[in-house]
Amino acid sequence: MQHAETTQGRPFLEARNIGKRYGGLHAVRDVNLSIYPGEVIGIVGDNGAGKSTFIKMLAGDHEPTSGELLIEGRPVRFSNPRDAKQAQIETIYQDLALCENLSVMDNIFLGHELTRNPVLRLLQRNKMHIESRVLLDDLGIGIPSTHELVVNLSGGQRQATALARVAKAGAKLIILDEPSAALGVRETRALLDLILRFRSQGKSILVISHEMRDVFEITDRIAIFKRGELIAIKRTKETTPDEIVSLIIRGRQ
Amino acid sequence: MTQSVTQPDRNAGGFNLFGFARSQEGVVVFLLVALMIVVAVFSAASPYFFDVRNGMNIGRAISIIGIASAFTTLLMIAGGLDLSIGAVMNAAGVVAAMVLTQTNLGVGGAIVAAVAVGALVGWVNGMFIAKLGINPLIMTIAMQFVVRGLTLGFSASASKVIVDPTFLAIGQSYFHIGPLAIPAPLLWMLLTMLVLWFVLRFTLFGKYVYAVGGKASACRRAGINVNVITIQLYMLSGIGAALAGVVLAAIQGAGIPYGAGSELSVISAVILGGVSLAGGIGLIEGTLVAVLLVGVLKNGMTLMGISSVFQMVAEGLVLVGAVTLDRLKRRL
Amino acid sequence: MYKAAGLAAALAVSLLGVAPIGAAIAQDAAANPTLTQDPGNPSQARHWVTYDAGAGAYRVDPSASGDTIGWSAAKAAKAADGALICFTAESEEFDWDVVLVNPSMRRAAEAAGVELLLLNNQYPSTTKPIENADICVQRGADLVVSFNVFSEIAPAIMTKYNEAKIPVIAMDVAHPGSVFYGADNCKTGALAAQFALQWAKDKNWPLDQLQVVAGVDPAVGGAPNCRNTGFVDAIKAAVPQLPASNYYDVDMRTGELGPVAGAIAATTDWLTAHPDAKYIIATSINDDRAYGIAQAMKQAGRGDAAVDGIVVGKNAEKVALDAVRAGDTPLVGTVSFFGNKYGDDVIPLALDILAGKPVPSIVSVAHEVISKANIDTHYPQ
Repeated sequence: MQHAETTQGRPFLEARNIGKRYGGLHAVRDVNLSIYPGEVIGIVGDNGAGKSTFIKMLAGDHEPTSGELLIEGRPVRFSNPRDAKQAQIETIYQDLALCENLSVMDNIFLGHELTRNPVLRLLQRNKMHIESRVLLDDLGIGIPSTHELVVNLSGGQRQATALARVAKAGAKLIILDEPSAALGVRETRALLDLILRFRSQGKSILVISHEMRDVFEITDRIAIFKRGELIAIKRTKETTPDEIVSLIIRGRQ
Repeated sequence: MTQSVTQPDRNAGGFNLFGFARSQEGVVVFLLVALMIVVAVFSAASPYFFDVRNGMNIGRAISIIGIASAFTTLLMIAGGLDLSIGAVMNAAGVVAAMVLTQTNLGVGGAIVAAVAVGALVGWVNGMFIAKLGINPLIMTIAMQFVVRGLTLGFSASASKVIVDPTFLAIGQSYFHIGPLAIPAPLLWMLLTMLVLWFVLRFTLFGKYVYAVGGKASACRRAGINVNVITIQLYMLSGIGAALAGVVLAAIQGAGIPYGAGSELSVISAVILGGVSLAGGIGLIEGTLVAVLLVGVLKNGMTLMGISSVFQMVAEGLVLVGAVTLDRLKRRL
Repeated sequence: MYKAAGLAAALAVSLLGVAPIGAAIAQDAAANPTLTQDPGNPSQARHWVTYDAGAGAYRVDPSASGDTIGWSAAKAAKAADGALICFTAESEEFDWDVVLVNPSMRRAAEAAGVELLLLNNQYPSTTKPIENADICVQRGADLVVSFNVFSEIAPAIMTKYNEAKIPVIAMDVAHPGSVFYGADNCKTGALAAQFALQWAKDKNWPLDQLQVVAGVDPAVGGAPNCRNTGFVDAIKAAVPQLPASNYYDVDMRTGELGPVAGAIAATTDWLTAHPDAKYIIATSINDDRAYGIAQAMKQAGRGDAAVDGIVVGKNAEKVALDAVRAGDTPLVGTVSFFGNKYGDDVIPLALDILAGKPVPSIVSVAHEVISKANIDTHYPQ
């Protein structure tokens, strides 16, 4: 197994020999990966290569059957998504997990609403709208009104809302599952810019993607999965799309 | 940022009539207009209709359905359904009457006991639905049988007459405000709706009701404990039915174990009021106007001497009309 | 906390202690016997009463004397101009109401020239009768005929009428403070028992081997139960040697499929459980269920009225009259109290009350078992 663990400093998250077995089947086996603050890692691989199972273990959706996870050097156990959130890991799946019947502001603050009066827990709507506006402007997200219902938004606006939400939640590691799959060209561009802005804020980003062009544009390292194993990690600057495709398909250069 | 052509943006183009017609507020305005038309028609058709006392009669007649439907509105916005409420109403009335006649816990004790029964039934419903993923329709129909059977069994199928004047006042007294004599049950209904309107509009719990109804999986991901919210909502539904049952027993002067179940009237009023069966959408205001509309229709047709056989048909048609309009407006 | 809020609201309701208007009507039961009378009790005294519109209550009328049986519909007062009688009918769904009682009320009101407002109590609703009381009051009825069979809500209904000072005639189920008109449920049971025992004797059945079946409905409350218990009590009194194990209560509540289907299913099960039972004498609270019992016996091949058993129904509904006339089922009799003639008594009774004339506090309908022997007299084809 090849490793390119040359990034400096202490990793935010470290997976040690992590694995997931369903009965006799190894969905993921012995994955070692460190994710450092302010870096973007692309995860590539064929369907069924174990990418989804791997990120679901980081997101707390699946509990690993072997190995261990460390956050900033401390071992942790995620038995549900709430545990992962507490460790400041936020995941955006393809369905974006937005409540379409609610406003942009409601979705940004979902699960983190600002309230006053500990008994009645009254919503502080104005404050949340103002904070949402500031956040959207900071991230350069072009949504005209935080009052708008998500059902009325375009795909890119929804994606941006989901990203604004995880930023609001104070995520240190953001996991994105095929974020550009449903987006047009301009919307994809806006999304990539947003990801780079997150990186500049020191957040770590893990992106599953089939779009080689996107992967090469924004990632620092690329992790290649095959048959449940992490077969290679390459520095983006030191590799080529051909090499990556070859690894995905044949497992070697 | 790209703007899709088919997606109207309320803020981009100022007031959008189609957008408003599709919104939940639009439904309430539509129902209000329908209510005003119906009131005008009945006022012209019957000399007895447009009258303060008749208005109070309508208010009292709708109060039981109104109280239960306010709670059901919350549950259905969150995507739930409770068909056990009719049985809980009867059970609560019988329990209240039995506590009043067989203990010295008094009116307060009777109400607490009735509410506890409702909360317990709701808790059982909620646990099975939230934790085990049982279909709410099946679960609450099953509970309807269980509760009805237990009620008939515990009461030996006999009604329990209530004589306590304080308890009877809950259903039979009036509040005098100037020249108006407002029947107590109407006041309870309005209070219930006011409280739940506030909860739904201004509190975190209210926000979660809409969020869970919009997309429960998104709420789970956002760290909201959806199971707890669901269980709380079914408990509230049971409590609401129990409160309605207490008022009903006070109106009737007896806890009656075998009354006809009113759950379908409640649910149809809530749907008429604009709550989507799929969840996520609806307002207490809509339920209030819908309950009023149904009450006015029944009362007006009765005053006009229209046979109740046709009244049943009319009630059904109103509901069909409402859900048809609901489908059509989505194509706007 | 939301639960707590609901609880607090509920407690507030209880603690407010609002004084009920009209919940306590101080009245002297001695001056107004209608408050406490029990029409079902054979020894109940019957008084002449008039309605005191000022007090909003009936009062014993000392000026009237003689037997209350002397009241006659034929001699009733004429209708005053513009008088309105509010009739809260039991239902507009069941035969008994739609075919018999309601048309008789309409016909009699028209003949007397009085306006009749018919409101549907929607049996088995226990809320509609109370809502209808509000409507009668609001419409300014001069007199109300209340056909509400739930005795437990009668006080709530009467409170409204007493407040509005409207005289009431209660049909079939006593309402405290009203003149009673109607059937005597217990008496219908006793008459059915008499008829059944006579049949058994005529056929030389061993009386100590009778199987007494009562089709009960736990969901039907109050007075109508006496149609069964009156039957059972009368047989117990007449045949003391019949062991208690020969009496059966069979549950015939209305299921989703209606009362007849429920009665058929329940009886079929009972027959299955008692394969050797002969000399069955059965009854139920109405003819739907009696008909169902007879159908089940016939379908089980145990429907020979000469050996297997008989059913005596109640109400003289059409299904029972047809069966009695045809004579091919065990349903050989039904106790009639002539619902088709209710209006002919009740409207004149109402006119007398409105005219301030004395009327009996209890007016009973005629009861008679309709069998093959007399059906053509009472119900000519």
